[in-house]
Amino acid sequence: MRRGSLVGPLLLILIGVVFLLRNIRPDLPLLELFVNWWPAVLIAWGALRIVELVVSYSRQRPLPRSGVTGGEWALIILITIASMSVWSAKRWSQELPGKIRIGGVEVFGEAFDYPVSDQTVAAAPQGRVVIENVRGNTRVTGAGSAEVKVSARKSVRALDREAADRAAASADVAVKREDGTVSIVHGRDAPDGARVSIDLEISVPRGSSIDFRGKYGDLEVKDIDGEVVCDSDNAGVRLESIGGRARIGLRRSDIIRALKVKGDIEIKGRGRDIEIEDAAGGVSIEGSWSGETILRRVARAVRFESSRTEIRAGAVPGEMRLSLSQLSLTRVLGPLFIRAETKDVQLADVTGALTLDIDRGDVEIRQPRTEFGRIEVKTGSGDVELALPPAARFSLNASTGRGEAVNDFDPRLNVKQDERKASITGSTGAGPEIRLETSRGRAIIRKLTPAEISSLLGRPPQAPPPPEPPRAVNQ
Amino acid sequence: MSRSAELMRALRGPVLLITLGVLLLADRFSGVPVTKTWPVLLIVFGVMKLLERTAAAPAAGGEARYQG
Repeated sequence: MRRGSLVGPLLLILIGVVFLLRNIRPDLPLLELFVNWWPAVLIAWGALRIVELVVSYSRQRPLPRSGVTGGEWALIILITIASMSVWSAKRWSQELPGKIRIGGVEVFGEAFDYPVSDQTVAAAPQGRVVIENVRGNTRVTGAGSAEVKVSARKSVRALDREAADRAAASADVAVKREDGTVSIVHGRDAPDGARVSIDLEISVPRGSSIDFRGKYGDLEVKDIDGEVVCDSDNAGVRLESIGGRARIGLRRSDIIRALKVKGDIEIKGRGRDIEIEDAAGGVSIEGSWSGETILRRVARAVRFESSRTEIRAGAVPGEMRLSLSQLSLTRVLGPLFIRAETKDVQLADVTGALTLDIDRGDVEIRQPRTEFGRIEVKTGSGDVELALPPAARFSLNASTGRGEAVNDFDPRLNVKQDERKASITGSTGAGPEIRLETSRGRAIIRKLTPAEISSLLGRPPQAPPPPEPPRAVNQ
Repeated sequence: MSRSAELMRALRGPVLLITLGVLLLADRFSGVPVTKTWPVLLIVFGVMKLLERTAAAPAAGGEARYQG
């Protein structure tokens, strides 16, 4: 005989109470609470069962064969799987742009446009312009005038015209001036699910600094001499010709593009692509970026830091391309430091010391100049290939824990091949120290061809001799 | 089987259940994913098995418990 446990009735009572509460006080976030705390029910269930078992043990009653029966386990596993999928679904929907509400205005709604009259206020030549746009794109342009001019386009997405009218009336653009600060605010989302988005077109005095806060919508800033600060939950950001610093903080973004920024650029957060060109200051990027990061012509220090990758360089006069699986740097001023988990790395023309440490991935280094800094490369698994100009002087210590060592550079370097291990050591004259190390893979040192050297240094390769003039054969 | 061993065997389920609950809460609130912590369940299971054996041992009486 199996005596009924207390757990069954208690669970029933709990469920009953939850549903009753839901009916009486619909405002309580019960579902939310339950979704977050249901594992506590499992703990309580287990604890109760232990108490029952200990009680019947001490009272010399017969014990069941197992504390939790097979049927109960099946139920628990079912609940666990269901709740875990609710969790991950919630996570998903939080990360999806705009939080798609199925059956809501996103799907069945219609878009209604409303006119907004232009607003103009006088502004200090080097004042601050604070922009808050909850939803909608914002474009800021610097101009010669001493005023801030705001033109807007309001569009409402709602189920019907009436709801759209109501929402449009409640959301507006407020332009205010206090001391040296002009604030432009479209502050809140409309009630009852209608979605008001306002696209702002703002012209400001050239010397202004921009302070932008938003939730959803792109930001574009052009021709400003002050600094730009952007903080948004979801935005694409485009900056062009900025005189001051740029500080960007994003929770989500499809692209950040910064062209001709004179001050330092600081980017933090999460997103996809980053493209920076002609930066006169330093660049610092932190966070997780799933797309491609491209830097071209950065005049000062570059720092990239994510959970898997760390890159520091003195400057990047050439180009840096970074994606999830690849990193390539061309024309870089050292000291260059790279630490990554899994990446194939291609480096070309690194001036100054180079330190590279990756867990997995092939490394290819091409140094077209005869003078270069100390090189220290370590990969856990992958080929290491170093190509140098024939006249380069250095002392080399290359080793592989398992693989072959190839010396295509100079017979003065000694290759030692054991059963598994191999190494190349030696020196071609007084020069920097080079250490290459792979645990598994090939270690290769070779000469750069003249064509490679000139293409890496940006010189056009010598033209091949012109073909001989064709001879007439059939006369 | 001795009574205490029976108790241990019966306790196995509830203890595992509590462990599971703790792991899931940790997943939710401290961000340690269950996909990383699940071996704890195996460990707890093993420990409960061991306890069951040690609880069963006295019942084996004066006989040699291990032979050979």
